[in-house]
Order: sequence, then C-alpha cells, then structure tokens
Amino acid sequence: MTGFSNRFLIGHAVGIAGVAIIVAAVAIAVFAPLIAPVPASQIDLHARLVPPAFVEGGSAKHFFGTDNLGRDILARLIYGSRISLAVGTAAALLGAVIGSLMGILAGYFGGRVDAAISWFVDVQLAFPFTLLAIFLLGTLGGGFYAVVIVLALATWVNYARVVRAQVLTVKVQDYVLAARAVGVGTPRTLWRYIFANSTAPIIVVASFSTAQAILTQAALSFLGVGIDPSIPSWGAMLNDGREYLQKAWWIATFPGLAIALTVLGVNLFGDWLRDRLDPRSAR
Amino acid sequence: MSYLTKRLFRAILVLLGVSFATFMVAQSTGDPIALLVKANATEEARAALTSHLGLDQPVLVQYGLFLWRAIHGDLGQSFLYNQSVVGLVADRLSNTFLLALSAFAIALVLSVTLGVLAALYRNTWVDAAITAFTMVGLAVPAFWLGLMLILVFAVIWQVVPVSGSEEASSLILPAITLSMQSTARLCRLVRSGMIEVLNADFIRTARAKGLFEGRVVWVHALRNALLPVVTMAGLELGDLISSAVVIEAIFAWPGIGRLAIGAVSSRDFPLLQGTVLVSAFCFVVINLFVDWLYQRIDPRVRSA
Repeated sequence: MTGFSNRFLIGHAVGIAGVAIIVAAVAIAVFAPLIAPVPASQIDLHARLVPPAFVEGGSAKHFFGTDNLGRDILARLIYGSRISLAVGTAAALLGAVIGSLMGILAGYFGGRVDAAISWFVDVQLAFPFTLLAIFLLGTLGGGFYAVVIVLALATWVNYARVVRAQVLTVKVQDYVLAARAVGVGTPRTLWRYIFANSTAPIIVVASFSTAQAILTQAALSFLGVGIDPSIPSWGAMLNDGREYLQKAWWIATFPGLAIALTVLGVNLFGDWLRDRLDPRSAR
Repeated sequence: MSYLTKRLFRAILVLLGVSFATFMVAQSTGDPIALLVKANATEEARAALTSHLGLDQPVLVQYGLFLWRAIHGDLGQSFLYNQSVVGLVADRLSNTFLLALSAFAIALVLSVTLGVLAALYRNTWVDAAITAFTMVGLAVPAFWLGLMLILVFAVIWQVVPVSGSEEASSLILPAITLSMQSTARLCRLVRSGMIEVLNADFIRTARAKGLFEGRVVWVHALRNALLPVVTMAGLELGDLISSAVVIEAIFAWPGIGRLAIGAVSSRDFPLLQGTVLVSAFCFVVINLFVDWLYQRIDPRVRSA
C-alpha cells in the first residue's frame, strides 16, 4: 500500500474514533440518571476517600473511588459530563452566530465595516482571555448563561476570521454576481449565496471551538469562577481533589482524564472534518 | 505611512477600545461610593466624595478622566492591599512574564525539533508518534497536567518543590506544564510548514548544489518553515499569559492570575480592572514588537 492511501485510511479510522468518543460522551450526558450507580451529590461519610476498585483497599461499590465527602467519583464523572458538553456546544454555537455574522459583514462590505470589525477582533484578542473571563464573571456575576456568553466571546473571533476569508473568495463568484444582476436583495444574497457557501469552514471552526470552550470552562470551574461549584462538573471535581492529592490521587486524576478524552474526541473529529472539507490541508 | 507607523496607530486604537470596554464593565459594578464611605457617613460627605471623584459627571467625561489618570500611571487604589494598583500589578506581572517566556522557550525548542523530525520522517512511525503526542497535548487540560506533575515529581519522587517561587527549581514544573499546549500547536505548524518547504524548488537547488542534507534541512528549509511560527508567536504568547493565570493557581506562583483571583473573592474591583488593563496593554506592546521582528525577518512584509 502506498503512503498516501495508508494515511488516508488511518485518517478515516481516527475520524471515526473521534465520532465514537463524541457519541459516547453525549449518550452518557443524556442518560446520566440511568447510568450513574448513585446520585452525584449523595454524601456517605462512612465511605470517605475510598480508593478505586482496581487499587488495594478499593471496593467494587465505588469503581473510581469516593471523594472527601464519600461521594461516588464515577457518578460525579457521569453527571459532570452534562455541564462540559452543554457549555461547550452552547458557547461554540453562540460564537458561531456572532462570528459568522461579523465575518460575512466584514468580508462582503469591506472598507469601513471591515475596519470596524477587525478593530473589534483586535480589541478582543488583546485581553488575556482567562483574565477577561475572571473579570467579567467576577464583576457581572456567574451562572450557566453568563459562562456561555463569556466563552462565546473567546470563540467568535475564530469564526469571524475564517468566514471573512471565505466570503472574500465567494463574493466574486459568478453565481453571486448573477444573483445581484437579476436583482436579488442584499440580505437574501448574504444568506442564500454567501452564508450557504461558507458553511464548511464554519463547521470545522465549530468543532475546534467546542474543544476550546470545554477546556476553558473546566479551567474556570477549577478556579471556582462561573458555574455554581455545588453542581458536579469536571473542573470543580479537579479543584476538590487538589487538596487531597497526596492522600487520594483518584479524586483529581479521573476528571482530568474525562476532559482529555472528550476534547481528544472533538479534536480528532475536527481534524478529520477539515481534511474532508478542505483537501488542501490534508497532508 | 510606513508599515510600523500604521501598526502603532492601530495599537493605540486597540488600547482605546480595551480601556473603554474595561471601564464600562467596571462601571456596572454599582456605586463605588457605597464601598468607599462608612455606612453612617452624612449626605454631604457622600456628595463631596462623589464630586471629588468626578462621579457626578457624564459617563464619557468620567471615561476621559479615567483615561487621563491611566496615562499618568494612576489606576486607583486597591481596597485589599491599600496600595496603588499599578505598583501591585507591575510587581506581579514580571513573575507572570517570567513563567510565560520560560514556557515559550521550551515550546519553541521542543516544537521545532519534533516538527522537523515529523516532516523528515513523514508517514513513518516517527511521524505517527509525534502526531499522537500533539493530539494528546492539545486535549489534556494544562491545570490537570500540572497536578499530575506535582503528584509524580514533588509528592512521590520529591525532586522539585511542590509550589512557591523561592527556588529557581520551582519554575521548572509550572513552565513545563504551561508549555504543553503551545508545543503541540507549534509542532503541527512546523511540521506542515516543513513539508511544504521541503518540496520547494530552492530546496531542490540547494541539494543539487551538493550541500549537506543537514544544512539544507536545518538552515535553508527551517528558516522558511519558521515564518508561520513567527506570525503566531504574538498570539501564542498572549495565550501563554492567559493560561498562566490558571497555572499560577496550582503552583502558588505569585503572578497576576493569583492577584486577579484574590481580587474577585474580595470584590476589589479597581485591582481587578487594573490587572486586566495592564496585561492587555503589555500584550499589545508585545505584538507591536512581533510585527517589528516579522518585518526584519521577512522583507516582503515591508513592501506590503
């Protein structure tokens, strides 16, 4: 087999692995109450800091062990997937709406509109994002929606840049010129011809933005900013486990693996998607 | 206008936007008078302080005042430390920069080495292993990696200190942790850049001239493959400073991240605002420097 087709097949296998991870994560989040062995917040002070089942001193009752309050780590991991996936996808979607609109306007109209939007982009990028998120959530208040909006601020720039570049090539195509010539209005041209032909890069950016949002949300929860820490989330679990690193390594270890696996799945899917939609990038 | 004048002008515009956005968010935190005076202060005392701070002026005038003070290095007083915000932030910022720059240096060395190797041994197990490493590097949360490194090197093996900044060796773990994502991102960039450049005509010419393969790869090809890396360097540094905020929390590193977290929990808004503003300012300055560097390296930019 030649190197090319070899790599091509491996590429497909890797993409399918990514999809499998995403599907599994979504299924776990949706069916959490059915899968979890016990409720995520059920405290059992007689079973504090129990090691995982596969370690000496562990019990089969708590497969990944328990935390300092005797809560089951496996159950919390299962419920924690809900926050990660919900925030990740919502932020990527909101970022897609804002960023695509900005990118289309900047690319299509050019001139002053373009200058104004690229100024917005530059201002956004000038803030160290984690610090900006702490600032916004700390001054304006936290909560699920606040975190989604703040994370969308981090991702819209990615979309705006990619979409703008795509629009620049699309807007001079014959079918756009033809549409204009037969009198199709501007809003309709933008939606029906420009946006419709810019969806491929938007989908690719969406996958990477979801991964970025999941990582950042976990970091914010880890810092105790944003989402209410009493709601089980992977970031907050890591924060809980920090103090018990010496006595109970499993509390912080498993949520980190859960985040890494989920993000890996989304990234693998994103890479595969990009190679499929944009053959130039497939190397 | 020359390229750099244009860039400078743009940087000033960006700073205006940054300061205005920060000012408006801080405005919405409520009545600063309520935080500054005692609960039993008289109506007159409140009014006097209000006009002294210019809070009875229209918002735009207040922003002008804020900007005027900021330009003169006055971002107010921290409630928490009872010190000038600029002094506090400047003090901590150097620590954050030390951490971010160390991580950047590690990321550059590792990513160039691995990226070039992956490109040279393209489609072999070397390439596959390096690609797998970068995929994992991009997916692992940096703060988790930090905790795991502490667990292994500081708790189990006890070869480096757990946290703090007293010894030089306490920089090692945080810098490695922070460099991980950058290494992975830049490695992918170097790999694809090298693959493209190695197929270019001038490389064939260099080989045809009979140059050593080592020289062709590491001098002729790498120089050109590094251009996209330089383009990304400014953004990458910004990202490192942003991620450093989280890493500082794990390693008790006394940088701006810990300052900001402390400011949030004690609702010290002037300090929080100052932290954000000063770091954004530094980021803009760094990018100006990168622009300057870029046009030194690539003459094509100057004429563009």
